[in-house]
This record gives sequence, structure tokens and C-alpha cells, in this order.
Amino acid sequence: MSQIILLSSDNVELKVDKEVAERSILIKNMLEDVGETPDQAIPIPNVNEGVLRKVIEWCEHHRNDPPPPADEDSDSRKKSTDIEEWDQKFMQVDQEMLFEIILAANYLDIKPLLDVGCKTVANMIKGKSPEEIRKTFNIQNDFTPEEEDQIRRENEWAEDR
Amino acid sequence: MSSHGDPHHDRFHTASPATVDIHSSLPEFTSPPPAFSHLPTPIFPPSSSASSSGTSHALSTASLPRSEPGSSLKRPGSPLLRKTHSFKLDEGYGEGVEESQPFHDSHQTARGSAYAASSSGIADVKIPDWMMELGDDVRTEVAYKLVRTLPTSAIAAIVERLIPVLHLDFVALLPSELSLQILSYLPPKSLLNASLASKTWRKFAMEPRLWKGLYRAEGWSLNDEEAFEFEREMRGEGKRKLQQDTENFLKQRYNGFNGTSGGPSTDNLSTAATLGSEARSPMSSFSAGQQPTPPTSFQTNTPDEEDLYPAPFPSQHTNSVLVASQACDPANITSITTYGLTHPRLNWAFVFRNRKKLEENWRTNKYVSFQMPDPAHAHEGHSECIYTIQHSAKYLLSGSRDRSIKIWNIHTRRLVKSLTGHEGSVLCLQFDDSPQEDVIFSGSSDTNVIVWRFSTGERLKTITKAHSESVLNLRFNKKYVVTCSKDKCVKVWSRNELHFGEAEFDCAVRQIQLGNNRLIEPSQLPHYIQLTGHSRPTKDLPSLTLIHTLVGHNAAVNAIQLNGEEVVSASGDRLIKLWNLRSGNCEKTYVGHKKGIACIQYDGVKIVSGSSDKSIRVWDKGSQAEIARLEGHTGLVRTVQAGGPRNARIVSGGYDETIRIWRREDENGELDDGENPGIFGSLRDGVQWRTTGILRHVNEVPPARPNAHALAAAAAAAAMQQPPPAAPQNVPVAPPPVNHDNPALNAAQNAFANVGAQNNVPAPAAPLHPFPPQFNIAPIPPPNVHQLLPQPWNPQNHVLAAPAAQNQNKVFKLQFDARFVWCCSQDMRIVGWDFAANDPDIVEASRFF
Repeated sequence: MSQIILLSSDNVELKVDKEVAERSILIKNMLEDVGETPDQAIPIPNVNEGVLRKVIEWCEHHRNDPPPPADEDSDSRKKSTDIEEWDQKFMQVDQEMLFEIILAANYLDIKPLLDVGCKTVANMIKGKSPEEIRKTFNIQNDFTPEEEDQIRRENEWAEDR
Repeated sequence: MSSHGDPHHDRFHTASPATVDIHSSLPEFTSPPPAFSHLPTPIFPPSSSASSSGTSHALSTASLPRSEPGSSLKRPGSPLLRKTHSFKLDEGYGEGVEESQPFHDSHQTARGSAYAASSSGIADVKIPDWMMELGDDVRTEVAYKLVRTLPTSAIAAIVERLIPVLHLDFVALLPSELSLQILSYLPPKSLLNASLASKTWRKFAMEPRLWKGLYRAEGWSLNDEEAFEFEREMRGEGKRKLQQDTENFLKQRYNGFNGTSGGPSTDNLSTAATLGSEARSPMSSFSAGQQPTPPTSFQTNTPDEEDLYPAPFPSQHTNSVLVASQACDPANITSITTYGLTHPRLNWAFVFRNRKKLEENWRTNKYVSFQMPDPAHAHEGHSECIYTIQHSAKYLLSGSRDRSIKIWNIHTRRLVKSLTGHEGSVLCLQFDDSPQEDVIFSGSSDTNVIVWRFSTGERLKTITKAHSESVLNLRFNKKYVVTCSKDKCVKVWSRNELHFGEAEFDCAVRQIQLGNNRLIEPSQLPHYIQLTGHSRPTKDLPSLTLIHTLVGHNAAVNAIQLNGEEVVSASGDRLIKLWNLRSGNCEKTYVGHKKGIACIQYDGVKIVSGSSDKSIRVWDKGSQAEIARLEGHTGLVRTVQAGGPRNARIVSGGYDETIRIWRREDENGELDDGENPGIFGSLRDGVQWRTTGILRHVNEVPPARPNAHALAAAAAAAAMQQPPPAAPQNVPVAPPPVNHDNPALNAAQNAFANVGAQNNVPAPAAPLHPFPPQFNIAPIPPPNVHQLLPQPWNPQNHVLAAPAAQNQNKVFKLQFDARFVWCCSQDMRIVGWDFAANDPDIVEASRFF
């Protein structure tokens, strides 16, 4: 099993199986461009060690996942926010880490991880009242009471069923 | 909390007061102590019980590697992050080494402003450098124990201060495409709640792409072409097209029928009436009666750049995104357009909301009804009952016992043309008004099939004596015309010329040999088949050559449905048969109906049939299993169409004079999405087809309809709560409650208003023989002396109509789409129900349905 070295933004070298690292399309393409397994560390300038370790942990666990199905018909169905159990546990981190994982997954082009991250945030929004959403994400309400009233009235159509 | 826009800044700004300077309270520790053993004394008073453990912990972890510069994550206690920089207390410190992440750049300024904001001087408190050199574990422990020395109220205050550290505004901070992805997982209600969180959230939550996704996820039909055209108009590209449309429209309105039916129509019955696909709204270009108004106010002179979507933006400037410098709420759900970078876009939230309202109207039976002919032009109508109708986006065609076919403009509800040529009742027809096809096929009790050019009304071809008895139904697609008859046969004809070597050619030759082809005698065969010594046949076979005669039914074949190269046929012999048109073989037979079958629909997967046994049944094509039975009609079910969102709607009509709207519901009364069927696609437990409404043709008294010009204004003015016009005879227009226990009684009660009797249309001698071979759903009534004398329909007479014999208003044919149900019956009028119910917003949005 060939291994490669990733260099985090804070200059920490992490050794990882090539197969695991290639869950990242960014790294996969990079390795394909190089042609052979490089001896030198691959710099990942946007991701620090802590986040990178976390991302690698996810990639390790999902190293044998089949490729995601082509999402031809994905938007003709209601989007599910279901997350498999291991991923749910994995995502039980503080908001800052979650934030960084999403950014890293986006940067490294690991779509399934990005999806799980976004779903995790969506689940934090789902079912909450506007007030609860503000609290969860520390959002300042910048609507005037009149504006808020009007929008609430406009949204009433969605109340029933 | 900070009021300025940069949330990153906020986090550290609000966190910075935590940089309590220990110097002020502990002035003796301005420099690191020589040894850690001194640590406990100043920080924890000797009385603190925690001091000793704190000491040992500190000592044991003092040798941990120092925090690395440049890390962005600070999670003490996580072994993963042990080497990362320290926690909250050090905000603004870190020896100035935190540079890697943009939002850490704000530390210094944040701290500065915190200092400036501090009036008490407490904010100047600093943590000694030596303490910062301790590992995360130690500082965590120290911080915790320090906190625990405080009164609870102070702890609560600290927790409050830490909220910005622990809670991030993901939507505002992430790149916009990721924010949109997060919101794309939300159901409508959650998305609306999210839109109330803040103005920034609102801009994201009202993003049209999200709502378009939700719209599609509901399984609602969507007219992509119209949406595309609308966006073009918004970009100022569609102007010329709009003008053309306007001109065409006016031409058609004032100069009668215009041959060039503007623009390709994707609507024809072969798709519209197909089980799987919901028919499009007939309101494709113009809302009912409204003249198209180019949205000039929105037209811009901006170059036609591809800027449908807001560009991703740097996360530092969240508030400047998406905004097209509009003073008003840019994300107003009540308008059909919404903000864009350079020009307005189609507001899918608006479209979604109005489709939702429309679906609610279907469920709660909110509609307005109207009729054709327009009561003001009653003379345009048929003089006898109407057996068949079909509509496209612009036109509705009707075939009547008066032997004519009438073409109606659906928007003006005026007669466009009347086609005559049949010598008996027109029992069935299908048309395609697209320029490519431009054709009408009609079948009659005169046993003939006539092909007409739709645009001119010209009679192109006649298949004389296509069958030996009445042609009861016909369907065509690009390749085939299929007809069925009371003579128990189904016949398949070629749309195109047949050439030697084609599979159909051989089939056609066989039909000639059998003497089935009425146009080509067997003696002419040498022209068509290869004889020994001849290189090839001399002639091609003309279009409309008979390819197959499908024999197998033991009674009249009442209805057929064509799907690709398959035909399903429904017969008075109680059977449904599936035929392969390549081979001409019957491949499957569906058994179950107790009496003859009158109508059928097929989408390639499921078959829906209506029978004289009063039931509607849904069949799985492959397994031949009956997967649902819909019971409620009290008479023969003469016409049925399935479709609607998630194929969960069936509308049926029959000889009990009612039209029933059925909805497939799950155990909670919600629309069943059909995603988890049981075995053989049968309904899983708890799922049922429920009647949600009953429409009665006979109840629909002509509304006082304003002329076409005023209609738009009237619609706009009409309150959406306004009930449909009530029938003057005090028969409630609203259907009886669901599961009405005695619909038969109801039907009988309503029968007195029958218009057919009033207009001297004889009650057709239509004995409903419950069983073959006599069963025939399209009986030909005896001749009527008045049949060629159209009688203006008089509402006065209608109101005063005396009770008539029963079964005077049997429903013969219906068709529905996203917004309308159209129906014809023994009455001479066509009745339509519009579920937009005069709601101008629904009407406006319906062009996209």
C-alpha cells in the first residue's frame, strides 16, 4: 500500500494511504497529474493539522465506499437529510470544527463529506423557529418588528399541512 | 454585541472581553514565575480545594509541546488538537503568531476596540505570558477551576460571552454556494423560518434555485419552456417574441381562427392523457382571457450576460451579495419576480407558493366553473350531446352526436371552427396542433375514420369502413394509428408509407392476403410482394395501410390506449388485453372486472380502467396484479384519467352523472408519494385512494361572465375566498362531503336541472347491459328531429327546468391538467372547472405549471 505525505497549513506532515487520500478529488487529480507517487509532502495550504486529521479520519472510514450514484434525478425527490450513524457521531463536534470541516471538504473536493457537513448544519436548522435558529447560530435579528410581522403573515400559507 | 457586518470580527470582538488581565489583580506576576511550583499560590487562593490537583496537573503537562503558530482551531481537550493554539482566554494573544486564517487577522483590531469600549478598566486585565505557555490541558483545567470559583451569575455571564465563539453563523460565513447547499436540504416550512432569521438569511432562503428544487421535489409538473422564456423576457431578450405572441393572439381573437398556431405546443393528448405525465396547463402563454402584457417595467438594457445566478462572494462581505440595489425587500414571496444581479429573475418561491395553493384548492374543492360555448354565444355550441373532448394549451376539440367536430379557443371560449364530414356521431378523436403534426383523427359511428389538417380544417383522408361497426376509440402516435370498435376488433394502421423490407410491410401484406385491407384487394398483391424472378416489389404501401387486426376480445372493444409499441384494450368482455404492435400478439390479459370495461389508461407501467361494475382498478402491467380498486361511483365509469403530482390523482366520470376526484393518501392523510409500494406495486398498508371531491356537470350554471377584455381585471378583483358561483336552483355547487353515504340519492335530486331534456335532446336509448356481448358504451340514440337545429341555450329555461328522467347527464369524457378539469356529457355544453378559483396569483403563476 503506497503512502503519501500531506503537509498541513501549520506545517505538520501526515502520512496517509494513497487510496485514502484519493477520496479527495483535489489530491487525486494532483497525483494523477504528477504521475507517480511523490516522495515529497503535498502541501494542503488551506487546512490545518487538526482539521486535516479529522478529514483523514473520515476518509479512512469511507475508503471503500462505492462511488456516489450519478445524481440525475436527485432534485426530483425530496432531499433527505438522513446521515448514517458513524457520520453522525463523527460530526458531533463544535461548530467551529464543523465549519472548518465543511470548508476543507469543499476545498479538497470530497463531495460526500461536504454533503454530510451541510446536512448536519441543515439538521441544526430543521424544525426550529426563527428565534431558535438565531440562537443556534448567534444571529442578530436585523428585521424591524413591522418587517418581521409582514414576513410572518406572508409565510402563513405554509402553516397548514 | 457588535453591530457591524463582519461576523468574524464579531466573534472575536465579543470574545475579547474574556482577555481579563490578571495583572491588575495579580500585579506581582508581571513576569513568568521561575518555577511552576509557584503557580497555584497566586491563581488559586490557598483555601481553594482545587489547588493541589491543579498543581500536579500543571506539572505533569508542562512538558507538552508548545502551541504551534498558525493554527486556526482551538479545541482544548481534544487529543487531535492538542498541539494547536490555546483557548478562549488567549484571544488576542498567541504572541502575535496567528496569521494563517483570515478571521484571525481581526484579533488585534477586535482587541483594540474591546479595549476602547471598556470604561471600567477591567478589560485591561492581561494573562501573564508564562501562563500562555502552558499546554491546553493545563489552561483548560485552570480556566475551569477559576470559573468555578465565581458566583453562578458570573458564570452565566461568561457563557453568554462565549456564545459567539461557540455559535457560528454558517449561512453568512460560508461561501454562498455552500450556504445554498445547506439550505437546499430544508423543507419549505423550515426554509421560511430560516428566512426570518436575518436579512442575510432571507436573501439566501428566498433564492429561486432553492424553491425551484423544492417545487420539483413535490412532484409537480413544470413547464421549463415557459420558465426559460420568462427569464429571457426578464433579460430583455424575449421582447420581440412577446410582441409576436401578442399579435398572434389578437389576430386569433379578432379575425377568427388563425392557421399558424404560434409556437410549438408540447401538448397533445398522447402525452396529456398518459398516466405517467401530468398534462400541462392549457394556460401556456396567456392567462385566461388576459392579454399578454410585456413586463416592460422589468426590462433592462443590460447586456445579455449569463447572470442568472448570483456570483459566489467572499465570505467577508456577506451583506453585499445578491443585492441588486433594490430598496424594497428583494425577496418578496408575493411577487412573480425577484432580485437578480442585473435584472429580475423568476421568483420560484412565488411559483411554489401558488402551486401549493392550487393543490390545496384541489384538495378542498375550491374552483370556479365555466362552460363552452360562452352563454353569450350559445349558438356556437353543439346541437346534441358531446361524446368526446380533448384539449391542448390553446384549443379544445369536441366531437358530438350532431356529427360535427368543433374547435374552441380555450382562452376566449369561442368557437374557432366546426368540421363536418362524418355521417354519424363523432365518438372519438385525437389531435396534435403542433406545427410538426397539425392533424386531427376522428372516429364515428359511421364506421369511418377521418384525418383532418388541424390548422385549416381540411379533410385529408378518410378510412371508409375502418371497422364493420362504430369506431369507439382511436389513438395515434408518430408511427401508428390504432382504432377499436364495437365489432370486437382493434386495428392498427401505419401513419407512414411502408416500404419493402420493413417489418410492418410484411404484416400489412399479410392483412391484404387475409382480405382485411379494404383498400387493397388480395388480387393486387403481386404489386406488393416479391415474386419469383422479380428483384423487388413494385409499390410501396400508402400511409394508413392496415398493419394488424387484433382479434381476441369477445365483445365490443370500448377503449384503447397506445404507448410506444404497446396497446392496451378494454372490452365489454370484462377483459383488458395488452398487445405488442411489432408482433401483433396479445401478451397479457388482465382479469378482475365484474362487468364490461368502458375506459382505460396506460403509462407503460400501470393500467387504470373504469368499468360498468362501477369500480376503477389500477393494474401492474408486469405482474398483472390488481393493485388498487377505487369504489364510489354508483354507475358505469365511462372516463378516467390518472396523473397529477406523483401520479396520485385520478379523475373519473360516469353514468352516475358525477365526476370524482381521487387522491392517493397515506395513513396520515398526506399525499402518498408512491415511493414505497407494497408487493407488485400494490398500495402499502394505510395507503388508499380517497374521493376528495365530486363535480357535477349539471350544477354548473353559467356564471355571469364578463367579456374577455374585462376578465383579467375581474379575476384580479375577485377575492380568492369567493366561493364558486352558486347554482340558482340551490343545489350546492360544492360537492357533498367526502364519502357521501348516498351519492345516488344526490344524483337523483340533481337530475331535475338537466339541460338535455330542456333542449329536447332525447334521452339516448342506452340500456346498460351489464354484461357482454350487448355492452356498448357509446349507444347511438334514435334519430332526433331537432338534431340539426341548434337551439340557443337559455339560462332562464335552465333554472325552470322540470325534473327530467334519470340518467340524462351521463359524463362521457373528461380531461384534466394542473389547473382545469374539462368534461362533456349528454349535455350540449362543455363544462370546465378552474381550480385557480379566480386567485390572480395562481393564475399568474400557472403558466409555469
